[in-house]
Formats: sequence, structure tokens, C-alpha cells
Amino acid sequence: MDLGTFEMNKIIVHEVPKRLAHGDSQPPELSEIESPLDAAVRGFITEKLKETLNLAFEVVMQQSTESPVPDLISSLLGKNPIDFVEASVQMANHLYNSQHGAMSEGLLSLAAGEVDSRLCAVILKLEREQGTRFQSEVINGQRTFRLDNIEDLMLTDKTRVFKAALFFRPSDDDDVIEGHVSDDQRGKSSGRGVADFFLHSFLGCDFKEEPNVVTRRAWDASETFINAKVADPVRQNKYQLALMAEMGSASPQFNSVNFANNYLLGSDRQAFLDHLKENSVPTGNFKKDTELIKPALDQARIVSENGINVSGPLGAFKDRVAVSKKENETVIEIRDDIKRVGR
Amino acid sequence: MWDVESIGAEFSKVQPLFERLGRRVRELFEGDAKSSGIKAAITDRPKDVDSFVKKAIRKNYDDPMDQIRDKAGVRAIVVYQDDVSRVRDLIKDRFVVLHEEDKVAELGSTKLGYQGVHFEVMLKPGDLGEDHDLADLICEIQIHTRAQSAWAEVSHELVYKALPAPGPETERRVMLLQALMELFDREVGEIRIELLEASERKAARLLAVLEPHFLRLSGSLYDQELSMRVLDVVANLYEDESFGATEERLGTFITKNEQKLKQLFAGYREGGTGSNPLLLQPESMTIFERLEQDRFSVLDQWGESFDIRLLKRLADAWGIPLPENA
Repeated sequence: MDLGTFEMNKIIVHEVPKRLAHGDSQPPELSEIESPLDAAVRGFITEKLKETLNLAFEVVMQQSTESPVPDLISSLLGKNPIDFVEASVQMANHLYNSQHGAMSEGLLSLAAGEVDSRLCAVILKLEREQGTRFQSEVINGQRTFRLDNIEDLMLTDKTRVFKAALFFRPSDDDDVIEGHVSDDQRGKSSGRGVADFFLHSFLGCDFKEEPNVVTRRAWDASETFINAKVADPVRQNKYQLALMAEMGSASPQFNSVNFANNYLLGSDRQAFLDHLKENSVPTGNFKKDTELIKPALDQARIVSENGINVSGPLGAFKDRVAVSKKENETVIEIRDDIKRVGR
Repeated sequence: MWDVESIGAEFSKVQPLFERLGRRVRELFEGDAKSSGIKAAITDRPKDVDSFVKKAIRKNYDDPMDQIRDKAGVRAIVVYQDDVSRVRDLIKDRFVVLHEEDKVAELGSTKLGYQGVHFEVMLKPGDLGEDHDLADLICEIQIHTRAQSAWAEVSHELVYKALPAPGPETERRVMLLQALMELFDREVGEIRIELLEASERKAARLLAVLEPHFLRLSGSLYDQELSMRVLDVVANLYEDESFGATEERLGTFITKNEQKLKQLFAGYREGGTGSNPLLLQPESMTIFERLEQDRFSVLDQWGESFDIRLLKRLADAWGIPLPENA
């Protein structure tokens, strides 16, 4: 999917309040028609959607799910589409009914447009934002700035990533719908339940590939890159340690663009991305699951041309092993006391 | 024999038709010029009843309705003399040409005088749309360079309105002015070519490559000074290859992404560039190309010269994620 070709044509917004476990909850405030859009608003929302969906990961619709969203999306993108407003109302009601106490209130929007010259549907979940506006004013003949509190902002220039899902049919094959989801990962501190709610419970979708498989592929491709395409041994060591640190970190996501920018040097950065792309590793965020690479994360290793192995826990390796080049020779330096020689 | 009132009344009945004709010819002509990447100021000049009658009297026409051929008129003013022939070709492709007059060719090598190219055209049947009443109506199109246009206006004031008629010395001075105008056009065109070929300022050469594509795809004007500033930075990203290779690379990129560029430019033209002011500028195409090739090198060059948010917005618009902490 080329997100650069995305254009939004229409949007409808519903307000979905918090649903209380006990006591009276406010029902959703549902729109009856699409929101009027001028070119400037359309342009701004399109920009924000592109910004957030640039970090999206690929998903598939669950084969069997209690969520009505997959059927609604299939219909919207089909030959006899359901009414746009009706589809959005059903989605808003589903969101309201499926929420639990930890969910924040917010706005549920459905947008329609095109991507790669094909019809697409975009679902957005946003939270109300607040801001302070200033306007020049003259009071009693003296100039000042009036400050007003604005509580009904939906999207601002500073809004980074929010929950958004884009679906489209890449070909005329009715059975195939491609989906891309971006998630701001808010609620990750509340545990898996909140973070996964949007993807699994609300959208009725799963990751296109299991995170542990994608993580393994990213790891393998990265190692191959470091060994086959980085000539300088000093960089090789640096990159390996960075990869281990990043994969082993507490961050639930891996982003290869960020990794390349933060840890690689010069032309290695783009070459790394190109190599990952050739190996079908996503350039946006993907959910990290190190189950299949755990053993590799435990031990950093260098194998020399003559079969000398240097390995150790990552922390110790970083502190005590140094790689350098001296007069065309690679020098591997270990600063540590010898615990034992032989077996 | 006609009289003033009846000829005026006869023309006023058909004048709205000719006004529509002039507008239609201008719209078609403008669209073709933009698609071809030619910078031209194109205007239509509806003839009012008063001017029509005065011309009939001044020229002493027997049959003003037939003999006055500029009842609808369109003028195209181009920047460079070289563009005149390109515009002539556009006119011949687009319209049915009844008459073509090249005032420069008519002057020959020994005379000076009014310059310009005039056409009498009709709309082709395929361009009539629902305006069948415009069929077979004649519109005059004049092509001038800026210098020729300025001279046409001034000379009208100086020569045609002169009372009494100018003497030989004054006439000679007018001729020298005409020669100067012709020399101006020629020198501007040749200097432009020499500067571009000799230019060590790669930005200028890049802009010369990008501009016709940008005009064709966006139909939009742009800030030239801003383009030069940005291209001075972007040009560094091509320093490992010859200019010819860069030109070819950009041509291939623009051809491959023509539809996407057109769509992007149209969207921003409609909605305003707002927080993405560099998008409706020719240099955006070269930034997109460089981002696809190596986004990190672009980041490295950019950060020292411009606000990184400008680059981020361009990258998002094109669908290229940049590092989050850029």
C-alpha cells in the first residue's frame, strides 16, 4: 500500500462516552449525517491520518468474531455497500457496548476515501483534547491577549499517533481485504487488555503474522545485514550490541526506521532499511515478541576468522569487550579477570 | 451602407456569444500551456459595442460584422522569445486556424516595427461541448513576449496618438527603441541559455529541469527565491553523480509518479498548503525522490538549514516514515 496516494473524501464523527460498570451511563451522541468538510479541514485530517498510518502494522480480519466491524467493512468496500452513516452508527454502538471500565471516552469516526486508486475505509478512535486559544483584544483602550479554554478539540498539530485502522481491497478479489492499524499504545501500563482492545475486541482483527514470527524474521535479517553488508568490524560489534539491547528492551514495539537512525551510521542506515524490506520486515512499528530469539539475546558473540569465539552476557560484553582496528588488523580486547581455563 | 445605430445594435445582439467564445478559447489555451509547462499570462479581451463601432468607423469598413475579426480576442504574453514558437504549435494543435500572421516575418531583415504573432481561430467541434452556438465563430489570438507587449502599449501612445505627426528625427528615435526592444528579447533568451549551461549553481539547473514538470502537474505558481534556497541544500544530495545523471533520474521519477504527484498537488491546491508550504513548490519533487532513495541523508542535510517539521510533513505526505526523534 502506498500511503502517499491516500485521499479522504468524507467523514462522520460520533461521541462515545465511558460506559460505567455500575450506575447510569450516558448513551453515545450519534451523528445523523456526515460532517461538512471544506478543503482545508479535509487536507488537515488527511495529513494527520497519513502521519499516524505511516507507523501502522498489517492486520487480518478474524475468521469468527463477535465484532460487527469486519462485516461492516466488507460491506462498505463491496459491490452493494451498506449505508455509510448506518455503518458508522453500528460501529459506535459496538464500541460503547464492548467497552469496559478502563476504557477512556472518546470520539469514534468513520472516514471513506481512496488509496492506490481503490476505495478504502478508515476508522479512527480519538480522545477529546483541550487547548488554550489566544486572541488580540483591546480592553478599556489597552491592548492585551484574551485567553479562552477550548475543550472540544479533536485533532491538533501536536497529536502524534492515535488509534486508526485503514482497510481496502488491493484487487478485485472479493475475499481479500488488506488492513493496517496504528495504535498509540496508551494503556499499555494497564496491561494487555487495554492495549489489545482496539485491535482484537473492537476491530475483530489479528496481526497478519504472529509477532514472534515477525520479530524472529527482523532479527535474522538484521544479523545477516550486520555480517554480510557491514565491512567494518568495529561497526559490526556496535550494531550487534545495539540490536540486542533494542530487542531485549521493555519497549513493546520495534521500529526499524528509528533503530537505523539511532544506532547505525552513514549509508548503513538506508541500506539496512532496504535489506529489511527485501526480507519482508515492516518499516512501520511491529509488536515485539522475543520468544523465538531469547537464546540469542542472552549472549553476545563474536566469532573470529580463525575460529576464536568470544561470547558473554550482553551487559558484560558491552562493558568489557572492545573491538577496534589497528593498522589493518582487527583487535578484540577483553578486560576481565580469568575465571578458568580449559573445560 | 450601415449606420452607427444599426451596426451597434447588430453587434450587441451577438456580443455575449463572442464574450463566451473568448473565455472558452482562453480556458482551453491556458490548460494546454500549463500541461506543456509553458509560463504564459493568457487573458481574454471581450470587445465592447463602443470599441466595435469606433473600429468600424476608423477603418471605414464596408461590412464591419465580417471585416472586424477580433470580436473575440485572447492575448498570450510569454517570458522568452523561444516560447513563442512553442505556443504557436499549441494553437495549431488545439484550434482550427483560419489565418496566421507573423509580424516579425513580415518586417523582414530591413524593417523595424510592431512585433507579435496573430491567429484567427475557431473551436474544433470536439471542444464545443454544449456550446454549439460558438461553432464557426472567429477568435483572434495574439502572442507577444513581455517586451513586445510593453512596446505595443507604449508605441500606441507615442506614435498613433502623436499630434502633430512625428518628424524624421523623432521617427528615427522610435525606430531605435524598437530595435532595442528586439535586442532585449534576443539577449534575454541567449543569456538565459548561457547562464544555465555555465551555471555552477546546481540549484538553478535543477530548477530549470523541475519547473516545466511542476507547472504541468500542478498548474500552480511558486516562490522562485524559496526554490533556490531549498535546492541549494538539496543539490548537495546529488553531488556523487553528473548533472546529466541527476536530470535523467528526476525525469524517470516524475514519469513513474506522475499520477501521485498530480493528485497530491491538486489536493493541496484546493485546500491550501497550510502547514506544508514546501509541497506546492517544484523542489518538493526532488525531495520526494531523495527521501525514497535515502531518507537519512536528506535528514542530515536538512536539519542544518531548515525546520525539520517541514521535511517531516513532506515525508508524511509522500508516505515515507521518518524517525520519530528526528
